[in-house]
Order: sequence, then structure tokens, then C-alpha cells
Amino acid sequence: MRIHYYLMKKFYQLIFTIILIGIIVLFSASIHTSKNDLLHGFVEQTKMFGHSLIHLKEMIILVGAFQKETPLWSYMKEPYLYSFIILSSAFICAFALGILFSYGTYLLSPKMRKFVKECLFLLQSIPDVMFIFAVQLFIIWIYKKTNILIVDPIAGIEKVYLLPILVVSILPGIMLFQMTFLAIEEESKKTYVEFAKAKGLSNGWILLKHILRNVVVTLFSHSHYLFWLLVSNLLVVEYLFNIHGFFQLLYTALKTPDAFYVCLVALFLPFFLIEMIFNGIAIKLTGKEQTQ
Amino acid sequence: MKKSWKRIPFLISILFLVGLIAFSFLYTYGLKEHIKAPPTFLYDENGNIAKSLPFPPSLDYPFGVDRQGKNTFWSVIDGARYTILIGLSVSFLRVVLGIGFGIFYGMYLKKMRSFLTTFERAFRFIPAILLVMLFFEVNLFSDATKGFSYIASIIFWLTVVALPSLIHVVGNEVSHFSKEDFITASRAMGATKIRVIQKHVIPFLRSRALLMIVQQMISTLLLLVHLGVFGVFVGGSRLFCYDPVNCRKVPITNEWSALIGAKYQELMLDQWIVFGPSIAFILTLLACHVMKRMLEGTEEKVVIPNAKQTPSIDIKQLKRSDFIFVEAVNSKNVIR
Repeated sequence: MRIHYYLMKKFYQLIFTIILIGIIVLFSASIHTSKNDLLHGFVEQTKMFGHSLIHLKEMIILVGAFQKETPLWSYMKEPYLYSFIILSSAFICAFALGILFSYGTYLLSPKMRKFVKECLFLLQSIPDVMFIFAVQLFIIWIYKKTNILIVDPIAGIEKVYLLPILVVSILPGIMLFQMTFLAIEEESKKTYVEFAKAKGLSNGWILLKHILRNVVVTLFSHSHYLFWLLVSNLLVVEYLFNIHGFFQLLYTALKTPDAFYVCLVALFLPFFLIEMIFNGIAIKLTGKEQTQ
Repeated sequence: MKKSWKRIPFLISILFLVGLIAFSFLYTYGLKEHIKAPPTFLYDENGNIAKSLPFPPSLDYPFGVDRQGKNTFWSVIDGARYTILIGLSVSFLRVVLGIGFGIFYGMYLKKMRSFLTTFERAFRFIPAILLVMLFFEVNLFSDATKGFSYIASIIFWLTVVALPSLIHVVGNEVSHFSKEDFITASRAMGATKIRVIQKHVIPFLRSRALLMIVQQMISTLLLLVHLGVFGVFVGGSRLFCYDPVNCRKVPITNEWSALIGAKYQELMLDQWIVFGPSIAFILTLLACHVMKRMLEGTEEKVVIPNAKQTPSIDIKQLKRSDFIFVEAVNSKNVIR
């Protein structure tokens, strides 16, 4: 019964959100075409929108430097899958990196712990764009010195996976590490940890068996920040590495509002699903609704 | 304990930002005429041409000279005031409006919570940079693509983009805060909602406002870098045509993100041209992060235990004869 209610609530939220995204896109389209007569422009755009949404199969998008008209529906599938493979593997990568590193750091001595934290603090204030610059320069530097091209930094038509996944997951990984580590430190002040220590269990064992389990719940409930960061990172990475993924498509679709709307909804749906599942897990584990 | 805004790292970083802005104004309105433009060629000691533009970084030109013969260091200084002031004004506006609407949302609109949450989610799921790119071309105040009105309209859009989520956060905080016991008490004694807002909510939020401004500043600066990469030049732009067909947008101010975005092609040729503005950006962000950390007060001290423990080797060397055992019978006698 409770799950049924939860699902219904989420379903209504989903419908509302999709409509609202539509309104935002419509508003931007109408403010572009007629700045002074906003209401009239809005009505006009809504009519056009409705028309093109009914004929979803025939929607077109302008691709490339020559503005070639291509049907959206068949064009969208490939980059969509590609980008989501990158996103999900970057998510797993960031998660693994964050937890592994915080596990390692927790086992270090307090002085080393502080040092690692300071380093990450410095790293954190470097924007992702500069990370991408650095990676590109580094690869070219290696190529110049040794004549070995590890990975092609500027992708052409073929798909590259390793480099974008790594670059996308660096900054979220650092953020996740900080979050995890903070949560671990909070958790390790609790009495059950002290009790376990008094029983003579080792630090690593306590962390693995007791603390991490409790920390993961906190991480799950914060995961939507992580996704948001991943998405905005991938947007820039795809643009700078010249990867023909979904976000590149989104960027080219900016000129055609109806296609842009369809792309946005397609982007939104899986995220909503994931957030719903994670939220559900967090509620199930803690027994209370997390306030976002 | 000292108040966070009196600590030295905080003061240093705020001095850095203010100094950068002041220096930037000083350069544009005073120093500019007195500084010589770099020469077109560098000569070696025999008078032969050693190098033509662009020049790599040297003692005379700390960030190098770019292809147009502009000293990158002075370009960065010139652009500082645009970037930092845009960032500051956007974050200030965001926080002021966010707190204003947030109080209203938290105190009065309790019934509409679920609807507004959905609204906030719609905004959250579209990446902020895409939202800005949807709107930035529309100049609200006039039709120019440069000058003050253009910057003002960009500031407006940058502010609006983040407002829903900020209002949501502040509103939730306010509605949590208004369930505290002392507020219930003062409501019971007959205080109106406005009175509660004046006496309790605003002082509570005022202490958080500075932290929020710094946080928003960081996110605005990151957004600016991304916008620069995508060719949205915040300081204004104009079309530059090589020939009647090939036109592209070039920035008209030395705003940092525009410097990075416009010079991105140079990365593979002469890296240092991008380095200058990047370093400036990283330093500014670092200053903001330091301020944020000071304000959060999370700079917790790692306690290193001073007490000397007996090393375990010493423990193993102890023998039974090292201890004096009290007779159990004796102690029983004492108790009796």
C-alpha cells in the first residue's frame, strides 16, 4: 500500500515536471521571437509545439556546419546510448574512487590524513575545463616525447570511452571523497565504533563492516548532486573533446526548440528514475523520508 | 575562538579579490598609457630577429604575449574587474532575492509546497549552462550586444537561472526553523508572522548570508568558465569577419572566461596564452574556497594524541617477577 502511494506521487511529479520543462523551453522560444509581445508569441509557439509533438516521428534537427536537416528520432538513439554508457561508467568510477580513497585515507595517520585533505582542497578549486586542458596537453606532451599516442585526445568519428570517462569522473570523485570522508568522520565518533574498538577490532575491519554501511545511505541520498555535476561535466567534455554524444546533440538542438524539448525530456527521464530508486532505497534503509 | 571573518586566511583572500579589482581599475584609467606595448620582434644581442609574435613567458612578460601583440598579463589584469564584479553582483543578487522569496515561500506558501518543488526540479534537471544558453541572447534592456545593458541583462539571466533552487533551499530552511520551540512560544504570545520574520528569521539568515554569497560566487565563476568555452562572451561581443562569408564572434572585453574561450584554439600551439587567464581563474576560485571554508568553520583540528603509550615490545619484555602480587587472603582480611 505504501509503495503504491509512493509510486503514484512520483508519477504525478514526473508529469508535472515534464510539463514545466516544456513551459520553460516555450518561454525561451517566445522571448526570442517576440520580445515585446510576449503573450502572443507564447500562444503561437505553443501551437507550433503541439503540432510538432503530435508528429513526433517527423521532427527534424539541423546538424553540422551546413545545417543539414536530419530526422531527430533515428539520429538521437546512438549518441543517447553512447553518452549514457559514459555517464553510468563515470558514476561507478567516481563512486569507486571516492570510497576507495576515503577507505585508504582513513587508515592513514592523522597527520597524513590532514595532508591528503589539504591536497584535495587545492585540487577542488581547479575548474573542470582546466583539467581537460591539462589532460589534452599531457597526452600531446607524451606523444611528442615518445611518439606514443595513448588515446586520441580529439576524437573524430570513432567512439572513445576511456578518456572521457576518466576526465568526467575526476571532479565528482573528489567531491564524493570529501562527502564520504566527512560522513565517515561523523560516524566514527559514535559510540558503537568506540565499543567495537574496545573489543579489539581493527580500524579497517570496523570501517568495512560497520561504518561504510551506514555511510552509503548518506551517499545515496546525496547522489543527485553528483549526477548534476556529472552531467554538466560531460557537457563540456563532449564539446572540448569533440565527441559526438548526446550533449553535443543538445547543444546543436538549441536552435530548434521542439527538438531541444524532446532531448531534454529524454535526458530527464532516466535521471528521474534513478533518483526515485535511490530515494526509495534510502527510505527503506533509514525508515524516513529524506528531505532534499 | 575568533570570528571566522577575522581570521587571517579569510582576510588574505578578500584582500586578494579587492586588490585585483582595484588594480584592474587603476590599470585601465591610469597606468594603461604609461606602459609600452610589446615590440613586434625580439632581437638577440647581435641585432638579429630572435623571435616574432607570440612570445613565450619571460621576466618582461610574465604570461607571455599573444598573437595580436597584447601583453597577456595586462589583459588578465584588465579583465579582472569584469569577471569578479559580474560574479559578485550575480551572487549578491541571487542571495538577496533568494532570501527574500525564500522567507515568503517558507512562511506563507505552505500549501503550494509540492507544486513549487516540481518547479524547482524542472530547473534543476536542465543543466544551468543550457538554461543560460537558452536565454542569454535576449537583451532585456536594449538591442545592443555589448556595453552596460548587455552585461546587465546577462547578470539578470545568470541570477534567474539559479534562483528556483536557492529559494527552495532557503524556504525549506525557514520552514524548519519556524518549527523551533522559541518561535512557537513567541507565536503563542501573540507575535504576528511579520514580527517573527523581523525578530527571528532574518537574524538567523543574516548569519548565513555571507557563506551563501561565497558559495554562489563559486558556482557563478564555474558557470562563467563553461560559458566562455561555449563561446558565450559575457562582457559583450561583436562579429569579426575575415571575408564576407567567414564570420565569428570575438569578445570585446578582456573578461577571463572570454580570454580562455576565444584562445582555446591556441592550446595546441602556444599553451601559455591560455595559461594566464586560467591561473587567474584558479587563484580567484581558491580565494573563494578558502573564504567558504573559514565561514563554514569546518576547519576542524585533527587531534594528535600526545600521551605516550608503552610500546608493545616493552610490554612483552615484562616478566611475572616484575609485579608484586598482593595476597588474596590478606585483602579478604582487610574487608572483614
